[in-house]
Amino acid sequence: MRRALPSSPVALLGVAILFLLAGCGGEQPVAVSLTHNLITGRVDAPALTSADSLYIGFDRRLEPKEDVLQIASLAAWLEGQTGLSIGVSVTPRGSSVVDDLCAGRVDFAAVGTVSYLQSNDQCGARILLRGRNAEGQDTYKSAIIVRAGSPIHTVADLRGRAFAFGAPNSTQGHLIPRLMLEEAGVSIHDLSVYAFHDSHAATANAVTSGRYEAGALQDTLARELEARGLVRIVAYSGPYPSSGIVAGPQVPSDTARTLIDALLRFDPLGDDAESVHGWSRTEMPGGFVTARDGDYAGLREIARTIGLLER
Amino acid sequence: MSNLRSPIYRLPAALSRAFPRRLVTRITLAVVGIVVPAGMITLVVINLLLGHYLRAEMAASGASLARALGDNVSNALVDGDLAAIQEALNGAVSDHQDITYAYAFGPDTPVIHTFPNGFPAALLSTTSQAGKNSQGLLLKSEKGLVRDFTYRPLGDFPAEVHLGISESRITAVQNQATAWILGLTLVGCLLAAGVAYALSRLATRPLVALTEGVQRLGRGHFDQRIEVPEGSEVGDLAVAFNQMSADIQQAIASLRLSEASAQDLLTAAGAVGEGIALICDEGEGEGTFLFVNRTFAALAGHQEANLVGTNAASILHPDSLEAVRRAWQAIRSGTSRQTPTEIVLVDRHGQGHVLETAGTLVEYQGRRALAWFTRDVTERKMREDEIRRRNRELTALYALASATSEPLSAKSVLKRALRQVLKALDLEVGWVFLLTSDGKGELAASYGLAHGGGSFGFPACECGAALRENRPVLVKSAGDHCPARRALRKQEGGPCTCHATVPLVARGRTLGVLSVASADPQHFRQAEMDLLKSVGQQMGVALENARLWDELREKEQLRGELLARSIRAQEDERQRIARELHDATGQSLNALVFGLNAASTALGQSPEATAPLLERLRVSASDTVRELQGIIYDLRPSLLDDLGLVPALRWYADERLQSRGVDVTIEMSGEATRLPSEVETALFRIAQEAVTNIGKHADARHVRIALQVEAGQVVMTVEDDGVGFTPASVLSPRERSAEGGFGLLGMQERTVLLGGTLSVSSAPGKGTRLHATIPFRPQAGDSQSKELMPAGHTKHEANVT
Repeated sequence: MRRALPSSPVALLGVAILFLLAGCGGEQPVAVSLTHNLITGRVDAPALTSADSLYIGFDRRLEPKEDVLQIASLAAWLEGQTGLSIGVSVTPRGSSVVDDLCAGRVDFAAVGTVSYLQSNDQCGARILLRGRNAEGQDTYKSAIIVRAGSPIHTVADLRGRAFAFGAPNSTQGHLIPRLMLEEAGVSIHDLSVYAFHDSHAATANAVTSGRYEAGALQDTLARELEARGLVRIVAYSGPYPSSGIVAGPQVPSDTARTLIDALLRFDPLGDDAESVHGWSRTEMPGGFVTARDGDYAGLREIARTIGLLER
Repeated sequence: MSNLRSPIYRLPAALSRAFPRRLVTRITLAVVGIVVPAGMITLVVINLLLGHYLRAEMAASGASLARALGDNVSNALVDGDLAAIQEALNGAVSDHQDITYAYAFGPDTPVIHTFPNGFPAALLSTTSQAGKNSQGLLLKSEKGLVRDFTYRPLGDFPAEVHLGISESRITAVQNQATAWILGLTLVGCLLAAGVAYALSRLATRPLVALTEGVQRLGRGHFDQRIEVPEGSEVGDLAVAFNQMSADIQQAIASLRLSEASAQDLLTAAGAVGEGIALICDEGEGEGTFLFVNRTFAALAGHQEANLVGTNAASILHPDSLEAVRRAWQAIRSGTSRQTPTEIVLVDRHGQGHVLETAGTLVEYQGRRALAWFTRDVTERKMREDEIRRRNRELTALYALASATSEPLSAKSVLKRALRQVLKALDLEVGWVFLLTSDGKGELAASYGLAHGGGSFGFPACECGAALRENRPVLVKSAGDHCPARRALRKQEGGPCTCHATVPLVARGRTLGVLSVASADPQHFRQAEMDLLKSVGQQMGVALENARLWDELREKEQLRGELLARSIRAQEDERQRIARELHDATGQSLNALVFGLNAASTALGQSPEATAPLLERLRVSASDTVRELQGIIYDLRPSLLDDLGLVPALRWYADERLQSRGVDVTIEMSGEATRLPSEVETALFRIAQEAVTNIGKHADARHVRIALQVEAGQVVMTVEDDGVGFTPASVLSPRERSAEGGFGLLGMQERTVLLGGTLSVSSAPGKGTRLHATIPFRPQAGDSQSKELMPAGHTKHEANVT
């Protein structure tokens, strides 16, 4: 009869060592040279995107990183849905995505009403879809805010006040508020001072910091700030078609159709919530509906009035 | 069983041989042997664990740094703010000394890096692999192992940040830990060795004391005791040692007492006559006497001192050496059953002593020895031999008596008797000579002779004196003239010429001699010669008895033959009577019947012819009557009953011999009286047989039958002058023919039955004379009426021509 070998702490320790050695011995280093074959000039980045990809652009709304993360996640979702290769195009600061659309550098873009109206006006870009908010509405509003303790209670009270706008091409930050001021009889020249800000956040910051007595920004952010007691909403605008997806003039109809069909299935509040990054902070948190150019007639007029369509 | 031969099971023994013997050294080495491997194991384990956790920490921190750096430069990557990116990368490298390099790029941004001399082209090929492992990609470079951590701050947007973190700090920490552990191991080793040495010295101190005690005990200090506190293993061992010392001391004391007792025992045994010798059982002195007591030395005829040192075999009879060797071997092997062994010791004067011995192995003066106890049983042995010899003689005589009492032939008796004699005397060669009728010797029985026949010239030889002088003769050495010498030599293969001879005597007559041979003349002492003499007498009687038995047997055989012949003769007689009645009397009677019928017929038809016919019938009837009378007389003559023996003999002789022209003379002398009927009948039948034989064979001219009645006996003589014959050829059973001889034997038988004798003397050409004598007792009152013949007819002569 074979004698069993005695089990002892030493034997168990030996077995443990063998396991550790086995666990640590699996990774093989990749041999590289850090001192030879050096590139001294410009080093181009490795190509991580296919050359024949469709590119999607966007209006800068938040800080660049957030905008890129949102659009990049949507692009990845679309790639999965359509099988198309879709890249993200970042419009350099100081440039307009309208120019990229019309120049063909961008095939699709998530833009606000102003950018659509401008691209449509400039090169015939087509509105494909418009977004829905968290409540499912396919329109959005602007809100005029003041500091919580401000003596301003109506739009008319803004006369002679310092006012902060969003970006000049911003629908909720500039276009609709201009319309609201005009409807309240307050001209831009009635304001003591006004300024444009890059984003709704910057506008809110300008108001809450007291640098400006009032400001205009998207209604969702305004309600959020008011809920936290930072601002008080003086007035809401009427509902206007929200931001949407536009296609450049060079995009074939079937490609556009493919994109429309995919985005109509997009459910950021439900099944696709995890697939996209920070989508609730966009102007289309509830997904998309089909858009028609006629929906923007009113806004096109005011835009043209205030000179936003001028080249 | 094969598992036990495997190296793993031989390892302990091999280690035990390889290590030093000292316990202190072994313990110290064992402790060092434990500490060093433990230190090495700790070293390996600590290194592995340290490396494992430091790398895990480095992976976590590297990922965090890469994430932080990526978040920091993400906006710059989006906006293409190369300066901001460069600044952030440089800051990261400068803030963390483990970060070897950093670089970042985006789809529209070139690679921004921290390499001062240019970007290594090799890193471009690793970008596709780096992002797949959250633990980073391990790179082996001139600066050692570097782990490349990748982070994409913009998610699916193709922008990456890379951080290269060197593992040199981990290696340094491991080296430092190794140095510490090695140092600690060395210190621990020295410390453990010192402690182990001290403790083992302390622990083995009782063992050392125990060892010294054992050594003292081995040198004979049986009072040695060890003082070690009880309760420990060594203390228990010390207690056991002390107990063992006490036991040994007691055993030694008992042994000394036993030795003294043994010495006393030897002395006491010697005092009562037991011889004791101690013989060395081992070494060069094996077989030599180590000790003998006075009794043993006296047996050997030496002084004790002279025997000690000599070999025991030198005083043993050569025939006893093998017995001694076997007994000694049995004692050595432990198979001895302590039964005494008889041996013969030869003393200084050459005198043998029969010793009864027994032995056992003992220790004597530090040597193994055979204690040999002896007792002189020579006289007892002689007495036993005498008794045994007596018994043997008695047995032989008894056997001889038994053999001779059986109805055997003389040669069978001699053969059996000779065998019993040889057996009783423990001899193998012997023979018996019988005297023949011509005075020569005939070898009747023998054993062990080279040839079984011949007379050896007996009785002319030396031992023939036994026959001539009727006394026992001992021939110590047969001369060359003795023919037995050659036969004996051939048989024994040596000078076996000594033989003792005694006569075989029966009824005062010497019948032969009995001789037995031996190579040793000493074999035949007076006792043996007396025995042989008794045997000779016994054998003589037995021989005589055997002869009588032979005669009796022969007579019995003859009687049986006579009975058979009588029966056969009776049947023949009946057949003859029947044949005669049928052939003669019957035919005659039939003729008479026919004649009477004819007479009856003639009486009616022709009466004149009746008379002659009746006359013929009368004559025929008379002839028939005579025929019947002849038959009747042939059966038993009525004359014998009516007139007596002589008329009956006369009538019969006339009837049988007259027609043959033989002259018959019948003579009667002595008293004229009637003899008893059985005597007369016997004499008549004897004479009848003689007459018949004469008529058949003798071709005689004259026959004389004489009867002489004397006082109490009657003598009948029948003699003729015929051709005669040789009686022996007729009376000898071997030569007796189917017909011849039985007549004479019948006559003899009849004579013997009546207590008489019959003799026949004859020779070819000289006639025959038969002489029968039968005693009788005269019958009172019958003398007048029953005479042998009518008065005045005392002599009758019948001359038949």
